[in-house]
Amino acid sequence: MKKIIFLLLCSFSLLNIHAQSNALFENLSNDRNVGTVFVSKSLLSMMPKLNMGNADLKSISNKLTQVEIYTTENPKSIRTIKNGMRVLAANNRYERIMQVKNDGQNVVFFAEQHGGTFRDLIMFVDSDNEYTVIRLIGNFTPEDVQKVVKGN
Amino acid sequence: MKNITEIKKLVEAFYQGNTSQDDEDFLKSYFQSTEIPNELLQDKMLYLAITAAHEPMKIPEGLESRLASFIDDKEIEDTSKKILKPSHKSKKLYIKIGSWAASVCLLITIGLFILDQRNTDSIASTNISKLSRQDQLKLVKAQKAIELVSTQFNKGIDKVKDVSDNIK
Repeated sequence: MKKIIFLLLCSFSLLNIHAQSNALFENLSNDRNVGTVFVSKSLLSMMPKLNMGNADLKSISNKLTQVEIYTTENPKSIRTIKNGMRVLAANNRYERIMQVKNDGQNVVFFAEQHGGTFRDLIMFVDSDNEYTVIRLIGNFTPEDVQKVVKGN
Repeated sequence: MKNITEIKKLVEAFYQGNTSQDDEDFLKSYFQSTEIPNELLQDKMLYLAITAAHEPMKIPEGLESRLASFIDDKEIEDTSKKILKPSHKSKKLYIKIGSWAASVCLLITIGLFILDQRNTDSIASTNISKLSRQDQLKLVKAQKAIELVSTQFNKGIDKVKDVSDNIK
């Protein structure tokens, strides 16, 4: 009986953590002050045909299932994002893998990883008065992300 | 019935080739009988061996038909072997025809592949042109976002490399 209760509590806590991470993005998508862009897998499959510049999107575009972009200049929405980032930091599913401070920008990467591949990569960009969150969902490697610009 | 002396004379005459058909028939029936004196046993064996050699061989029943069917079978076997194992000239011909057929198949495959590629490209381009203006803008934004993620990711990786190089 104790084991069953323990297992139920574990599963509830996992669901709670998952709900917390999703809650941030639901709040942002419902926020009128946040500009959102959702790109589905079928739309992403056409990306290489529209490819402009030197970016190599062929290798990663077919590994992504969704791309989400959130941008805001609203201080209240920025606070919501920062709070959500703290929740993510406390979440065991996500790991803060990198933080780069450069040219007045503060960039933080969170990732959900499984055996060396990213399932969910979230980038928070805090620059001057604007805040941007980019979320890449799929099954891709860090090398796939690096290749886009480096084109190795 | 002749006595033993007469029979000896008759055997002697047989060896010399002076016996008639009747004499030979008599000798045959005599030697085939069981009661032969010991002194004539060797002559019996010799006579029977000579006469047996001259007797026409009995042909077993159905031998002719069996031989004919055997010959027919052999002929059919040889013909099938000829078909299965073509001669050197026909082998060369087969190789030539085979190589031509393979070349034609290869060309058709390449042609179909190129045609398919062109069709795929044209389908993709028509699909993009069919996209709404909003979806096209979404794609452009997604592309820029992925590029930005990649740029920042690489910046972080490069800084980590710089730091680790300085530590070394």
